[in-house]
Amino acid sequence: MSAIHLRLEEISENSDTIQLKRKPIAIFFLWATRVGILNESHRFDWQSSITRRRFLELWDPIHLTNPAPAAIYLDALLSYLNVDQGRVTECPGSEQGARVASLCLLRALSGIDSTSTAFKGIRKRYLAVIPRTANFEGLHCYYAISAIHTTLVNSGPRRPSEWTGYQSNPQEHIFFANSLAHTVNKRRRDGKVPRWVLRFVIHSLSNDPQPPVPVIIDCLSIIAADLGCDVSHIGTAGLRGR
Amino acid sequence: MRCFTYRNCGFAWEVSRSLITADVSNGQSSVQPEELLALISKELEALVRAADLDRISSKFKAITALFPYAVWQERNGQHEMLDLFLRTVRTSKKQKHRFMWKHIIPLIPTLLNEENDVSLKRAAILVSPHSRWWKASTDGHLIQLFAAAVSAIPYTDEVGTSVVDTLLKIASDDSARSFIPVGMWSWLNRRPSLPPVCWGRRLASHRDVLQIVRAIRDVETVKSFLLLVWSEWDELHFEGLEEMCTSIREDLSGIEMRFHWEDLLQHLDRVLEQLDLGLEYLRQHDPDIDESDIQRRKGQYGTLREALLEMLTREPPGLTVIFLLADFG
Repeated sequence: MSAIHLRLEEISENSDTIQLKRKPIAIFFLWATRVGILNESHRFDWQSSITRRRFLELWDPIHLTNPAPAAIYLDALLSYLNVDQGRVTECPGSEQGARVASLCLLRALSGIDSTSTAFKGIRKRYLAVIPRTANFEGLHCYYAISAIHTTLVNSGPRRPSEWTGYQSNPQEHIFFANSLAHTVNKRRRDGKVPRWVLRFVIHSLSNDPQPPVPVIIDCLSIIAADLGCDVSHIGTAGLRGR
Repeated sequence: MRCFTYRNCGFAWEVSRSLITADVSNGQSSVQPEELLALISKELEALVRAADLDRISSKFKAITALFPYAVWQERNGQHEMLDLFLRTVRTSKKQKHRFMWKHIIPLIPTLLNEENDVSLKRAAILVSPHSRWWKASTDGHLIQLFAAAVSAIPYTDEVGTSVVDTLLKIASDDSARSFIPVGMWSWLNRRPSLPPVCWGRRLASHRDVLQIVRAIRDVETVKSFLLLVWSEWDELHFEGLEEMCTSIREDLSGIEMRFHWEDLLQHLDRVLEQLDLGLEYLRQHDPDIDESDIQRRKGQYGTLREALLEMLTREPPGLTVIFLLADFG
């Protein structure tokens, strides 16, 4: 363990090495989070924010489907943001990192039971930094962080109201749609899907050219969920199940 | 620590496996849209079959969200989804005149403006009575777009019904009425069949709507308007009723109008006969109607009949006798 720690320290300033070794690093981080070592980061100090940031920037978010490291993504996301009197801004040069971290966090949250201790812990940490009435206007990760805020806080005015400004590459679109579909299937209450999610569906399906097939699948599964269809026997779509 | 390491070997392997397979199967999925579509279709079919108005109304946002996908299906020559969507929307009789969620509105002008695909214009026209899309512009250009689109697609009774229903709704909107191109009113002369629950027809019995139709100064259009708006399913607006009587006296006066009187009288007689069928018949599509509503409607259509008969009595006695004889069968 110490050897890994030392090696991480060594390569934390070297982008090329991180790029080369991104898979073992990712596996290590996921494992460390799973066994709880990462939560003791103050003691071990393994994870410099530099490493965390580079890891997230280098890693394609579509591959990060395991819910375990939500705490890592939350820490990374918060490290990219400034909060001043309720207004949230990105640290200069952190736009890309915040975008990736927010997508990863959204995806990770979609896999966590909202009644679990882990979820409550993340919410507590999030609310310690981001106020309930935070203003996310102008952020590059506006849609993802608004969705995170709604997922964690479950109230307040921060839901993404209009999706007309939502633009993403196909991979991000797939990732985002899948996170929302996953969240909806896990958390919907009274058979209702939140309106802001259905607005995302309308926006996505109205795109020309047509969105990627996984986005269509997730949008249809959101509609099916709201209509009360039982989609459990259909299996998985998009990123689910990986 | 060894215990930790051992216990999480499997997890690490799982993660690495998922990372590797993610590279290979990126964007692929084991589920096909058709499977989900089949589930959704089954659910909607059940709602339509059961005429479950409350549930359809409560799910209007999800149903609306399906429309863009139905459009994509239509683009690919698959009409089933749009047909099912329309049947569901039309079953939702209680929604006043905007069943579809307002967030769909930006898509409708895009479809109306589609240059290369008439089926998309048709899709937009068929859903046009179910949202107030024309409200998205204040200069009437969307109404012009609609007028251009309806002239570009082949006529069917279904299209005619949607166009006339929409036209009457736009006409009942104070801020939009003046943007209707004069030529569009000729759609009334096709006299498509309107459904029992038709909010366009109901709203069109207001005085302002008839006034704009009369301003065209075309007897055939005025007559078509009256034939479309007079229905056992709707009560007339009281000011609209007065305007209708005025129109009969002023627009339809003169012996040369006798054939129009005949058509209008026949139509009114049919409406009154339907009202005579009573509550059980009318409650099929209007569960809230009561006996006093029926009597009020009978009074209204009786007033219009009298106004027409009055025109007959002004004409030479011989002609009046012929008409009355025909009227008595």
